[in-house]
Amino acid sequence: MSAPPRPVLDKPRHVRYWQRCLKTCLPEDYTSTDLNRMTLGCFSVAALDLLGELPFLTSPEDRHGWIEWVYRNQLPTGGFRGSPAADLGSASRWDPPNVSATFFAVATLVNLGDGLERLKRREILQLLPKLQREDGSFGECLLPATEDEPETLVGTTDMRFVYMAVALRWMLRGQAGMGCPDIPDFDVDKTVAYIRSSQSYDGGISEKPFGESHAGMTYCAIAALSLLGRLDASGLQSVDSLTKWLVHRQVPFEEKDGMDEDDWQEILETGTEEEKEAAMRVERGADGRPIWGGFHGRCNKKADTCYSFWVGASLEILKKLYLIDVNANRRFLLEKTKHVIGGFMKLPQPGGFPDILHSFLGLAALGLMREEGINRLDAALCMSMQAKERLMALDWWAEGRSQI
Amino acid sequence: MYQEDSEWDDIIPLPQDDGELPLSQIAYTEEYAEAMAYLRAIMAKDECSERALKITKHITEMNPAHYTVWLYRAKVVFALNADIRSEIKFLNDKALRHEKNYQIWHHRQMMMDKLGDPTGETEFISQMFEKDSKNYHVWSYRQWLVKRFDIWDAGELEYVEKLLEKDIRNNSAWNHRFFVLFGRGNNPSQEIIDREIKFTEEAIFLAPQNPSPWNYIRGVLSRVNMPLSTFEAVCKHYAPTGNPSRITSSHALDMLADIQASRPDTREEAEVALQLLAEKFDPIRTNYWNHRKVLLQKAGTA
Repeated sequence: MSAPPRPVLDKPRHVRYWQRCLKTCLPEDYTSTDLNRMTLGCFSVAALDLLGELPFLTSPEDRHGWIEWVYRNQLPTGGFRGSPAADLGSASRWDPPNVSATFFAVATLVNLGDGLERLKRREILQLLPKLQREDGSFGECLLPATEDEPETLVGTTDMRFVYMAVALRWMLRGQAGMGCPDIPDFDVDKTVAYIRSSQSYDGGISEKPFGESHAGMTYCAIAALSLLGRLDASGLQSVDSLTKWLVHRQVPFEEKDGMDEDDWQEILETGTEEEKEAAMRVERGADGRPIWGGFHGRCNKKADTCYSFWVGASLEILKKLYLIDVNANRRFLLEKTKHVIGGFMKLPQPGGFPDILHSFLGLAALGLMREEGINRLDAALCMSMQAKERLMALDWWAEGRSQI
Repeated sequence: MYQEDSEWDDIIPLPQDDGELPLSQIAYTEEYAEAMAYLRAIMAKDECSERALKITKHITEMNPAHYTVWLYRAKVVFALNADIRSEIKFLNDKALRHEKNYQIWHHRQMMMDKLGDPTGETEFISQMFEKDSKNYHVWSYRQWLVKRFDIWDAGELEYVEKLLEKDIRNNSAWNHRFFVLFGRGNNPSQEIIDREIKFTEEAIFLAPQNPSPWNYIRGVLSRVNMPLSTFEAVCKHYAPTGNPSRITSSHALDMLADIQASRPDTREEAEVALQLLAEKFDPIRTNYWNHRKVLLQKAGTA
């Protein structure tokens, strides 16, 4: 068939979606993300920033108020908690600094135009080496010592925390780690070696050595290497196989991908051969290319909005985004997973709802592909170029000086 | 309601203070807001008690991703010398109902580490895989379990084969196969490698367009320093480039291109294979295959 007309981003609807996220209470379904509110807040602010509307559709009072909220979650000893839900009124082992929350807090402050004057920057930098494990990876939280228990590093071993720690180092230590020579750095070589050993046999990267390649973990690894200036043989066993693995995450959209799970199961079990074939049909344009093609995160899985970002950003960092089928990806997002009330759903299925994570990453993915109406973003920091510029104008970024 | 429960009489609840202009505020249910206020109060006291077990159970039911509540619960379980087997039972039910959750599996790992006996674990994991045989958290936990209790040879390979019989496209199972083979540090014998080559060939026969076995065999060959050309005949079987209408696997074409590109006298044939991929057999990746062709041409003139 000939391709349908080129879809456009319905910017006003997306803007309204994000205004609702910022100005009204999130529904009860978000309770399971209660401890990650810093992440949700960061995405909401960053989305309006990417849409270029943050200075116009929020007031200086709003932005000031949100900055205050972020700082309320800063711990006296440095670092942030993920939500006021974890605030126990006074210092406690059970209200520890969390590396993800700290990353998202700093990113939110930068997005909101804060100068980070009240940020306990030295304390965060001192915290980072304590979060590092012997194998070079990072834990999630550092439980403070009590009378009968020592300081304890906790959390799963996974690439997300590696990324957060490295991004914090980049943001707060400045160019090439020169910003505060008196604070001991974490062991960068060990972290690079950890990432290298997590590249799997198929070229993708996992959360840890021998884990299954996963596009989210791959993004964390590639972004971290890029922020460390180590996107070379010291950080990767093979760039070629990584590139190949990444471009193979794009998959043609089949009719069944847009069906309700149960309907597809029914066709599989009781449908005729024609029905099955129709469900697996791929619509193609005159050039033979699939009209819709999103990304999945692992081999033989289904396409999901967020992987357009995790894969797209990884390729952008490798300067190879041009290798994907941009049109098919754009159409997947703008015609299959966008929602009528604004935002993006996770999957291209009927009856779905948009959520904050997928709505933000869908926008960011379009931004990577230079979508009109979306500000340019830095793939490794996942924030707009303007926000990154503001960060790099801060004191410790100025070369040759270390003002703390 | 904690407020009306005499067991909680002595506790002054600690309500949440969100300040004046919060970000991403959630419309909590009254039940959650109240339980959280009591939880905060006893966490602040670092209380290790039976009621701490009760309230943490209640909270994790409403919010299974509450990371500090799990850490606190682990401490209480250990401090009270509570029965770890019954904690595992509690986690079974939890995991089956909240499949996509990091914390439940982290907590399980802490409990199992303390218990020191993995009896029943692989059975429970099978139950999880019946719901989703590609669950990332569960596979990650299984790898930990195998290493922690040194149960590499206690049916891992057989189990992988069972899962692959059910779904030959289960890439997580293929990955686990690789882990079982190479995760111990030393390379397996040539006999085992030959078996793996045969196993992969059979899997490809069932579904030539399934990328998992193609990726797997590349990994195996590279790991033991065997050339990709070991697989050349298989590639040619699924990708007879002289007769494109008989080509049944883009992955065979791709591997063939790599094999042919490594020999100067077959470089042109590699270009043909890449051209077929770009134009006919994998057009969503036209840009990528063209890029590979350019790289090949550059290498040829260098």
